[in-house]
Amino acid sequence: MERVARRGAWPPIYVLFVGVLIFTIAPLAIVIVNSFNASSYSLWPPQGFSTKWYSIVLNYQPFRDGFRISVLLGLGATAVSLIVGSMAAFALVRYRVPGRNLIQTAYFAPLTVPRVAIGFALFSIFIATQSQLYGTLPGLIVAHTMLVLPFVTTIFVANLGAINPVYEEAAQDLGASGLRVFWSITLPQMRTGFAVAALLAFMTSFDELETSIFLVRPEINTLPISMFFYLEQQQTPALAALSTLLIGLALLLVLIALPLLLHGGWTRLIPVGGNRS
Amino acid sequence: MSVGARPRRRFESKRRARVGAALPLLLLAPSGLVMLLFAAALVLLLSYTFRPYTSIVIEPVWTLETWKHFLTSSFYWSVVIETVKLASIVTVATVLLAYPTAWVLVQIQNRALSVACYIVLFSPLLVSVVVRSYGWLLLLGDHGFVNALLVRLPWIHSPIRLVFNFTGVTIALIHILLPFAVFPLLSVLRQLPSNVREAAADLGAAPWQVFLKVSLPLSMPGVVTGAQIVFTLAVSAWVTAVLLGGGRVLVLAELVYENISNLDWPLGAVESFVLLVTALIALTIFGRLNRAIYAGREA
Repeated sequence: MERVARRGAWPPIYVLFVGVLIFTIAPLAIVIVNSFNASSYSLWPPQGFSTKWYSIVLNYQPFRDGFRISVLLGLGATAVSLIVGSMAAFALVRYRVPGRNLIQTAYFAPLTVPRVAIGFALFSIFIATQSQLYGTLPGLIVAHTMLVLPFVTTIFVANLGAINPVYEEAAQDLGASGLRVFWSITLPQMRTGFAVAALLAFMTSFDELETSIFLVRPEINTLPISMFFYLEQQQTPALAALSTLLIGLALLLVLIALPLLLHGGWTRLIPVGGNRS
Repeated sequence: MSVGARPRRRFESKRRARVGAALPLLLLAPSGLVMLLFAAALVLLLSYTFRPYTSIVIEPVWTLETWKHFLTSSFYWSVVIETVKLASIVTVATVLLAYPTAWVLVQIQNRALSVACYIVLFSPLLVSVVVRSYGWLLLLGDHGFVNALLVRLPWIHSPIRLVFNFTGVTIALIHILLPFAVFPLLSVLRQLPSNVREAAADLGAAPWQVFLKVSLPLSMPGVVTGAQIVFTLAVSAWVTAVLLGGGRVLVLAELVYENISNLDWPLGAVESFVLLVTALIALTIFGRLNRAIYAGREA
């Protein structure tokens, strides 16, 4: 073991590794640095220090509205997908459902279809059925639920598969109703699954752009869409200030979730495993 | 797609199986509805590909005109080729970078250092694609950070064009997709049995032989899975291509958006399906590759 470990220590690979770390962090670092750039032109090196872009961006109405919509949308899509996904996973793991493998494969279908195509397809069906879903928050929640459901369901299937049903059966034998068993016995054991699924669902929804862009009206643009249109027009450091705030928010969320993730064996729950069946 | 890295016990409840079939069906109903909407939307989209282009009203006439228009035009084929070329280059480069990265990452013994590296490597996933593309615009622009360094070199006199072209889109896509390639590699490399490598080393294999003959073949499933995910995402990437391509890199997803903005729904629908078929072909090829690897191992 020792020998292999030492033989594996081939110096260039560490240089490359540090290079990859720098490559990974560089675009985020430059955004943070540029958010304090006094000049409207994002040139390097920055022309003086200023925090004015933060006040500008915090008072820029499209971003304020976009942030509100994106948070509502993220919360809505997370709530719906967690409920729908945990129900499906419970049926798939705890009952003998005929064609279980087929159903599980079908759940992955939205992942294989390009998001632009999903957006256009949903747009056309929202319009064709006159469902009033186009350009509304509920319509966006439906779309995002569709996009995150594959992840969420898989996480819950893995989660439930690792929970021994012996406690559920004991509670049932002692006379607890099915709902009571689920609420008091199963649910508390699914904590990690819920945390990982919620984090992933919210992050995905909050950053989603390629499907949403087909489903919004200008008055309900999500934050990524407002940012995209802004960036197509101009590149002032205002966008850097907003990005810095969002990076901070994302890091905060992860730091809050980190203790739970480190203890919960989260890597086993992420739906990109090495083996394929 | 299986879920975790290591094989897990799956607890089956035999007792519950006797309960009527109504409850599991009820539990599956909401997700079934979502899937139904997904399927219905795709079928409707497919039907649009056989409709004539009449801006807003979809006429109840069937036609193959749009498909013919797309498939016989050298312009559309060049876009398909450009899209596949971009995705292929990005996939190869991303996997080549991801492999050594994952290799070092699983070797780090210090827990704090390892957590820090994980956070750095996976933090871009938490940040919007718009923000990351913007970061690359700042870095690679004519008066950006990279060019500010480059023009100091004695043999470079004017800034090098790194954005609003193929190079810029490629670099940004590699950055955006790198974590998706690292992740499956991590789970494979973590399971790499050290005793096989030791045995090879004890039998006199040089380190590079151990790697080429033992470690690399054993980790191939991770390479293929990573490549599969990266290619599928790269072939349909739209935001990055628009922002860093600046209109000069035309990919299929961009055409879809443009045609729908111009209200040419049938053409947009055809392009959506060409994109979908491209992604499915890639998925099938990578899936076959993985099965071939496992079959070769069992033989």
